[in-house]
Amino acid sequence: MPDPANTEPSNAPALTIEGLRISAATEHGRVDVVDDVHLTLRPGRITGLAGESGSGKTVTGLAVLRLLAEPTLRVESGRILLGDLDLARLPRGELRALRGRRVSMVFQEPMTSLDPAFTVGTLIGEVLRRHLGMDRRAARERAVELLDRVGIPEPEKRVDSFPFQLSGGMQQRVLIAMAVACGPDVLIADEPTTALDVTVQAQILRLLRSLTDDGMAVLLVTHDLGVLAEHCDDLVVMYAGQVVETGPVDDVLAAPAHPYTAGLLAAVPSTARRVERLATIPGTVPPPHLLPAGCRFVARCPHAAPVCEEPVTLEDAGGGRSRRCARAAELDLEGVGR
Amino acid sequence: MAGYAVRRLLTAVPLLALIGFGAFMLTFMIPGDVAATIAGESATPQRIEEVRRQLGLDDSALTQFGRWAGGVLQGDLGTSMIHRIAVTQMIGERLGVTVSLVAFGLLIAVLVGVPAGLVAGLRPGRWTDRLVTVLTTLGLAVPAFWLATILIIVFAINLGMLPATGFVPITENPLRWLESMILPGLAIGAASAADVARQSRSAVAETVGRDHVRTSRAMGLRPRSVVGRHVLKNSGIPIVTVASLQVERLLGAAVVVELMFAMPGLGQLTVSAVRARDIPTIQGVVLTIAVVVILVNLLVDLSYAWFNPRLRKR
Amino acid sequence: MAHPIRSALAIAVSAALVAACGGGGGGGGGGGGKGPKADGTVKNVPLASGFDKDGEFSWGYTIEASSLDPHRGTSGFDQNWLFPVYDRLVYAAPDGILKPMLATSWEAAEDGGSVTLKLREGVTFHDGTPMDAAAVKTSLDRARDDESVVKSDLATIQDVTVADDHTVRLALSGGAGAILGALADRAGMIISPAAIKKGGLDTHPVGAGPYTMVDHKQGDRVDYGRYGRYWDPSVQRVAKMTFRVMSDDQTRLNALQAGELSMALIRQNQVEPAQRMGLNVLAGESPTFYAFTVNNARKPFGDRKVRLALNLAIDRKAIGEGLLDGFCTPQIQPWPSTSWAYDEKLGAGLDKWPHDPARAKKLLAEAGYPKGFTFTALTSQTTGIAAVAEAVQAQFAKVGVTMKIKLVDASQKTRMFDVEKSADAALISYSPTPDPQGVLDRQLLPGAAGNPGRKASDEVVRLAGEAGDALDPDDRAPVFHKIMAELIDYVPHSVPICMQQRTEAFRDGVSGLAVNPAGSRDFRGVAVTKGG
Repeated sequence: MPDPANTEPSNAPALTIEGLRISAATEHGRVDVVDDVHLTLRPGRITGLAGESGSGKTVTGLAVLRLLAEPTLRVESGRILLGDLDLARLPRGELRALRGRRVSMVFQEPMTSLDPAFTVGTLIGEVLRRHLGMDRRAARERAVELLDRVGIPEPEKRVDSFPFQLSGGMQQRVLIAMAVACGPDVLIADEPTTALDVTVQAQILRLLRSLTDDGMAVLLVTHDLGVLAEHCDDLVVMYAGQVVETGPVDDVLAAPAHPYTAGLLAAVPSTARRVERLATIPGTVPPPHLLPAGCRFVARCPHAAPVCEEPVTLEDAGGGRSRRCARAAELDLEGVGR
Repeated sequence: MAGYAVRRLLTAVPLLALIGFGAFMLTFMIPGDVAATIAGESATPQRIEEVRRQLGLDDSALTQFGRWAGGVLQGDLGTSMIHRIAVTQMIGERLGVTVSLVAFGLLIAVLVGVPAGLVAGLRPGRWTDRLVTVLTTLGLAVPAFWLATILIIVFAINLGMLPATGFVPITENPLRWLESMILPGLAIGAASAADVARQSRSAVAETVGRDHVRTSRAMGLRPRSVVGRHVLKNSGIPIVTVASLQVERLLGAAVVVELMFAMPGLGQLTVSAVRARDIPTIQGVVLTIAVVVILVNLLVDLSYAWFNPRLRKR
Repeated sequence: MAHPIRSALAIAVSAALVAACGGGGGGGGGGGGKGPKADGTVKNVPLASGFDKDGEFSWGYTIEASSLDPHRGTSGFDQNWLFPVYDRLVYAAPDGILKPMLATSWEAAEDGGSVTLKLREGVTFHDGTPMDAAAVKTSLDRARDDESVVKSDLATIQDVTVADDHTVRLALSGGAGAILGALADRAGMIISPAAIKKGGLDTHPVGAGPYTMVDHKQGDRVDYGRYGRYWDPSVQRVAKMTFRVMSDDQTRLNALQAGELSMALIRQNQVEPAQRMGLNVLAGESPTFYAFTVNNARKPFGDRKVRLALNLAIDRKAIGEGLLDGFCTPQIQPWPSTSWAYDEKLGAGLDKWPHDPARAKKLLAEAGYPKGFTFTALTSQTTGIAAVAEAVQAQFAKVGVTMKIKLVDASQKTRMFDVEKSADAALISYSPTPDPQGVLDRQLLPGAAGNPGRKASDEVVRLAGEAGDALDPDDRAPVFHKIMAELIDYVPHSVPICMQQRTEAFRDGVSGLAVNPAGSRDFRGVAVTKGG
């Protein structure tokens, strides 16, 4: 937990990912599915990680906690810095002590992500006992408080419920309660609302927002631009395993710097109509073993030019923004008004 | 839960009646003549007929069944026609042997099978997994009598470490009981251990890939909690199911192993009773084994509710 | 219960292990040094000096006693379990001679109408009850009641009277000699009258034998302990005896090798493996015969020519010496060569009924079956008899006779062949009666259970009565020789194929053993040396 004497979110990043490269074993041999990913999470802010399925956003999220399905998926290089600690290289034992304590994660499917064989009180209590050394009773009391905190009515009763006795939204709240039980610095939320209906989605996202009040940094992995626009502070856009654009949400939405971001925005006529239509950009994401040497979006890009055949780096564009486009300077891309 | 158990036990009653009836009629189909056996070697045909009348063997099968069932309802399993001893007493003396053997075999099956399945299932495809797969295939392929033969020759005859024959009741001498159980227990339990390992492996491999296990990891739980609590409890139903099926397998294998180790168990009693067509004894054994199997299944079903809370609300 | 594959496996594995260990295990030389027989087996083991008076003798046998009650047990092998506990009135020594036991002397009345037995004085049963004439009467009366399985052995006893405290008189309808033989077996086992009154003899035998029953685990074992007040302490050479049930053949051999048994019954085909394991083997005569028997009331077996033809078609030598490895002596006399009834001049008698297929064919043609005929024989699946049946089947085929084999078990055979008389023929293994008369009573006479055709030579019937009357074997033997001659002439419905040898393996250190030709296993006087 941040020092109460220093509630003003410091500018020091909560978590930084530098040059992350992840490979996967496929039928075509080992290929990179995530390449040269950079991102920074700041205390008290929600960073949206957007992209189509297959863009590498979920893999990036899992890599932070080293939950990749090894040996199929493997971090090849890069650093994941939590303060001075490089999570990518930390010994397993130390890493385990940090998981759930300083870096935590919630998942897409609350139904299957909670162990059906235990009560929610036991599940939350287990995390508290593991990291905070609480005894059974204290852990239970704290679990009730946490259930209350995440907005579960009648927490004293619910604490003895089994996951299957709760609705999907309630289950996701329980999962969040587990994840934030020890007050982590960073929470990775991988599509936490995709499986839920619209009204519940909003509640959960507002809950996440309220949790950042204590200075927790959130990485919200989503493919839903509406969610990004409404609930995130910063935005990271990934395409085919690479970060193609980053920046404060409002800035990026207003004036995207990468044709892919612009395409995404164009595909959503209005943020009021939350439609999952990212795939309406013509063409599909190339499979990892058939990636071009230059810009990976080139085949689908309306602005493709010969210069795009050359490898492109992620460039700092000032104002907290960066982009990976050889023609960024010459393009004037359309954003969406808010 | 208690109500459920009582209901289950009540539904077992007609099942037992059916099993008793079926066994009785099957026994009648075995050719042979218990009266000729009882009358002795030099008996005249007249004497044999007389014995038949005395024992009521000239009545119809249904009448005989009715008489037997009537006795059972009053808690009387009858008297062995051959040994002239109360069937309950004979079974009581033998049950300890078979129960010891089956329990020991089951213990070996679980103590070896579950960890082996766990090691293999946690990391499918690794060398440990392949080793377990090879061993389970072997274990399932090796007949109990073959394994028993090897074990006896090596450990009883050549090394003289353990007895080749006999059974010592646990009440008489626990250490010697253990010694008398090891070789037959291994012989009988190996195939079951293999089966349990195989089923545990697939159950664990399936569970390990589940989202909630990833959640446990994401929360920083130690591997022993992740595996020991979350993986095992969620793999529990298939593991307990396969373990309970072993009870039946072990009871079957016990027949052979009891003979080979000269242990006076139910298997041996069954073989001799069937040979002699000793109807009350056969019926008593069948009923006893049926009750054991029904009780095991009940316990297993009750354990399901512990492993899977969803099943509790019934 | 023979498992050829298993036995082979066990032998192969132990051979491999022994080879790998560079020998070891073997007790050195097996029985080779002790026995005169070429195959390394012995017929008896004289008492060794320096045996261990506190020793324990354990024996493994195939089947348990159906009951420990001499008069109620249904198995013909029960007596083996009973000998240590129950003394008989008369003792049949290994040489077949009847000797005093609970009766010290006996005398037949001039007219053969009774036998008077003088009883040993000062003998008490294990429960302390004195053994006297009243006790003997109680026991014999019980042995003759309707529930008794030995009733037929004592059928000639009309009445038992107590002459004085230690004298009983048996009023007989004839057969004084035969009755003494019967009194040496189960029928002559004397039970404590107090125990009879109390009941529970099925599991708690109370006799006057050298050992008391200490423990009985049904289906497992009977433990015996030395009886302190036995009248002849010189035969109580071990302190304890344990008889164990091991129905599996390989298991008994395993237990012997592991030192868990001193001695055990083995199959004939286990003799060599046992010797290779360093065990000694006792082999000798028994009155257990493989025999071929027909119902001579059914066609065509009523015809002497047919019976003779079948007899000549059987190659007894090939079966006994080839098929059964020499552990079944081919002979036509239905009693062992050690029996006083055995006619030494006749010998095996293979020249009387030689293997002569040509003559057999001729006889069949004369009888009206030039092309042979077809019939069905019952045989048991439990013993080696099935193999013998197959050999006989092949031998009959050579003379044009087709014998179909139907595998049944012993009780079913009794039902179909003896009781319902619905079977043509049977291949049987028939066994122990204490007296040669038993073969006549149970197999050959018209009223015998094993003679469903109810036909026999009138001369044999007459001679059988004569043979039973005499007391002294020397007087009875010539009559039995005459019976044998008449049997050869008549060709009875039941003819022996070969006499099975009893084979038992034992560890070094066991002594005081002899093969009892009566077939029973009476370990009276057995001794073990320390560490044996």
